[in-house]
Amino acid sequence: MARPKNPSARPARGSRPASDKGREGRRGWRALARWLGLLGAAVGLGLLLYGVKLDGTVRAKFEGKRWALPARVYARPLELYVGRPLTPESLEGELERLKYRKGKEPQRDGSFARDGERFLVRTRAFSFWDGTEPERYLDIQIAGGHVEALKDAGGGPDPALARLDAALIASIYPTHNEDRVLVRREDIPDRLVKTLLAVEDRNFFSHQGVDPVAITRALVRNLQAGEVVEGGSTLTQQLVKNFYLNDERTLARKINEAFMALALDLRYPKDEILAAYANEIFLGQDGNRAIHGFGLASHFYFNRPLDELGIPETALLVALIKGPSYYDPRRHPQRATERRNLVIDTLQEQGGITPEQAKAAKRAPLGVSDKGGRPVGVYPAFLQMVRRQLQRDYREEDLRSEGLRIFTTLDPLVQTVAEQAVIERLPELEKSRGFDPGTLEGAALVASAAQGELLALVGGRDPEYAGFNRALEAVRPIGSLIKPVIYLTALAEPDKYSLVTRLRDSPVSLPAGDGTRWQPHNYDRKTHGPVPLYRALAKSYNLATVNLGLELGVDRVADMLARLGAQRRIDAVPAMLLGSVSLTPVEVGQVYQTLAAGGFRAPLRAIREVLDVSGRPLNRYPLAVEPAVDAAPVYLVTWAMQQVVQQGTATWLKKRLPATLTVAGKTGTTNELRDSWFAGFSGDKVAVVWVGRDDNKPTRLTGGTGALRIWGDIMASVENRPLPELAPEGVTEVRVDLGGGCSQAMTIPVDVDGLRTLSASCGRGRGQAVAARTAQADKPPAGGATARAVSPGAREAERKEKARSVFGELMRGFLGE
Amino acid sequence: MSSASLCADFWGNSGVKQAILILIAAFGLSACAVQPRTEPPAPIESSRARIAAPVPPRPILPEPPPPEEPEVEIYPYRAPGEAPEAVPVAETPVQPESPAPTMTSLQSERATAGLAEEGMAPLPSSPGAPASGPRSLASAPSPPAPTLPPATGALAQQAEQQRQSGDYVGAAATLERALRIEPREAYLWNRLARVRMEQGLHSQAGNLAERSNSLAGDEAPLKQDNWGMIAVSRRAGGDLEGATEAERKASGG
Repeated sequence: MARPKNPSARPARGSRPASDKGREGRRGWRALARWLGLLGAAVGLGLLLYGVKLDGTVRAKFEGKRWALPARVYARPLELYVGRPLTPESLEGELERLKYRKGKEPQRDGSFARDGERFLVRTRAFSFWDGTEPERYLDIQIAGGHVEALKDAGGGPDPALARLDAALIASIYPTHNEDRVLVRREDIPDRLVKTLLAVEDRNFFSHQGVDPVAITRALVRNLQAGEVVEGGSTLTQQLVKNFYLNDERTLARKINEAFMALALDLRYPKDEILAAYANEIFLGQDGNRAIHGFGLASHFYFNRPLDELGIPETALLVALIKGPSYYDPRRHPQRATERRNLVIDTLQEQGGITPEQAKAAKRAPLGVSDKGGRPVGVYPAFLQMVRRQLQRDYREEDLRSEGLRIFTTLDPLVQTVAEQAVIERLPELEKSRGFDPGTLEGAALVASAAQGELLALVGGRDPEYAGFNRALEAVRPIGSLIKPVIYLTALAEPDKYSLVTRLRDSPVSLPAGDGTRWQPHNYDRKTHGPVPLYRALAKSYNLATVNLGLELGVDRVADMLARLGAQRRIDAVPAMLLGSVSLTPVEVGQVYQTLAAGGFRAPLRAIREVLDVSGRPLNRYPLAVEPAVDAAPVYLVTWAMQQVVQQGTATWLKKRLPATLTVAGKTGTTNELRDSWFAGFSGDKVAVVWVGRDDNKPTRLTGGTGALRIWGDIMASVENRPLPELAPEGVTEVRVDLGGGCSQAMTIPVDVDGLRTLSASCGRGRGQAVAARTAQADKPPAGGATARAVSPGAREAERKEKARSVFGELMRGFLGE
Repeated sequence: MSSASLCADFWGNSGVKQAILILIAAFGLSACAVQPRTEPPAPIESSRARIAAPVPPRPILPEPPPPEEPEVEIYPYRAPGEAPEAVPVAETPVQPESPAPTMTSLQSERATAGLAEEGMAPLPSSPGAPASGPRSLASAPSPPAPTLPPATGALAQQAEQQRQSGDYVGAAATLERALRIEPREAYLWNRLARVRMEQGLHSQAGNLAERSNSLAGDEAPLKQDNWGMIAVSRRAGGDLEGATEAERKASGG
């Protein structure tokens, strides 16, 4: 906006009168002053607006965003109760995994003492999905391989059940690889606040974001010392500095930071700023992983949570702020100790601790552990399963940044046993067959029978290697593992088949469709004529099985396999009867889980629940069962699978397992011995092992000489209940004559609906003398139907009557000959 | 000329004045403009949200996914697609007199949500029997608890309390925990079936009751209780004949 030109005020150049010059000069000065004033105002306005802009930046960075927190994955918590099978070694291993400190007498949470088979443990509190487990002081006495006594060592009431904290087994990191353990303001111990303020920002609670007093003091101190010993930046300024990722130290940057610190202080309460600082400050580097925040640093350096740190440890953490790499206590312990002691001195100078405490703290060693804050153990195979399960419900970014807490079913004790079994057995097997080391590969999984919880998953002989997960991904022909499915299909028709029904182990020849013929043979290349059904399964006779399968119909066998839980599409061809079906070990595990649970299929799962960062449940994966097959035929085929161990292809287990542990299972061998399988179960666990070669060449191992060994090693070393002896409804025991006369009769379980089919009965299992009766032509109900027995009393009577009537007929028939 | 007059001249020049004013205005305006980001975003926590985050209370929330379909596709087995259950609002047998009033509202919320999902009226066909069935089931006494070892006994007791106060999700979690310790204890399976029944998840309740029966041996009251639940489950699934059969067994016939 131009001023109107006043011709009279614009004299021609060089010809101005003196008085005009003077007047001009005065006006010039005034104009200058005016302009300076205007300029000042403008600059002031500009600065204000710039301040507004910075404030906007501060707000944008401080609000509305959240720290990207890694997801934490936990193993199952160990539950302690009287009678729980547990060895002292297992308990100590678990406590080590939980980073409990071993000592003479446990003083703080997270420590324990051991005296032979007696443990004194101070547990940490832990928030589970269904409630917080409080910290406890436990006195655990172990004897004979199980918990004998569980007491409260503090004299309180003895807990019936105590749950230890869940061990962290993995973190799923944000893409920028920053790791932190979030601490809230109230979680920051006072000691840490005192130390931090004493060293970094004395007047934190009273300044406005920038502390000129501190700056001056720092200047003086530094000049006196001749080097930089003190910084004048407030915590607020340091926090702001961390907002920028590059480390320019220009004046302009400093000024910017000062402005932003003022803005930050204006907007947010001190506590929030302090908490943000405590979570943001960079305190170390672990390979790829950047350690941010005191919460994680405490674990990383000391393997302990923040509230368990003492004076020297807290001082070390504060000492690191100045330069986490320069003062790295692991690489430069001398420097770190000096700086830590300086911090302790500063703290003492300002009255935070007494001189005695300071002296004692300075004498203490650094106390850093091996790289901590990392998940214990490496379980890439199991985690792949967890990831797959999560991917259905969560996006990758959510997994990496929401701080989810994932509680899994992994049992580290069982996992260790399974890994060891694979690692140790495979070289032995290689040697026994003349292979070069590294030729054979294996996979194993263990799950709980009733609930289908995956306890262990081994993807290869190098369990720490996150590569091809054979348990999850190796699709291999299952060979004879299919046989129990065929026999189950048969036994589900009790009026046609029983455990002693004679099968024809005679040659089979079928057109293969391309002009050739399919002519399978038994492993021993012999035929055995008529064999009882159970023995055909125990000895794994191919011919008998194929004949049986063809009689039943391949489609029905395929259907039964699907009912048991195999999702994969199957080619329903006769070759499938000998296991040309290809499945992964986990899929086999599902099929055998249904058998192990008495016909009640429970999907194999690796996750129990998922919580959000504050502990609220997001997703729970509850127990769900489905009655896939009737209990009676499953019981019968389980009995037959026990014979696999007693007299069949898996008798080696009788030597390997304790005598009290009854198990059922099936060996599996494929063409040219390319795959070696064993799948089986005890009373409470189901396990599948596969051994083979990645290049699919022959292994020279059968199921019994290969996978069975690993299976036996695993089952012998984990807690197991024997198979139940209680038969379900609809099953009774009968003694049968197998050719040696009734004096050498064998007791077998029989479906009551099929007592008629028994042609070699020698009477009831308990050897009761049963009077012959006029047989009532009792029509048995349709086999394998839905509704079974009525009330037990009536049922029992019905059974007795049926047995008697049939027996009567048989006796008469026998005697009448 | 003195520097002062030079300055005066300079400032006196209106064109310059204009330019400077414009510059200042521009600078001021740019201060208000949104700064383009030059660095990758720094991870910052929302301080508001943090302060607001409460200490997690004992969660008494209904499970987000119905237990009918908890599985992931990768599982070798997936529960065959069951028809989603109609959560019968009219049928909710137990009006939970819970200390936590929110529970009731959440339950009915879920019930209505379930209805909205299924888009069908509560229980099809016979109105008479279902009305009486679950109600009589609700008032049916629980089978006597067997002597359980202290750990599972404590959990079973806790689960009963949770169930009676309406915390079904908590009761189910407690029972699952107990089942990990004693997987063959028929009573625990029965109690879990009961919890599912009260949640309106009849199909799963029926399955769990069958599982309980397979382990119950000779315990008549337990088996009758199981048969009662199986009857309700069958009726809800439309298997009327099976339901009648089960009811017969439930009454000891």
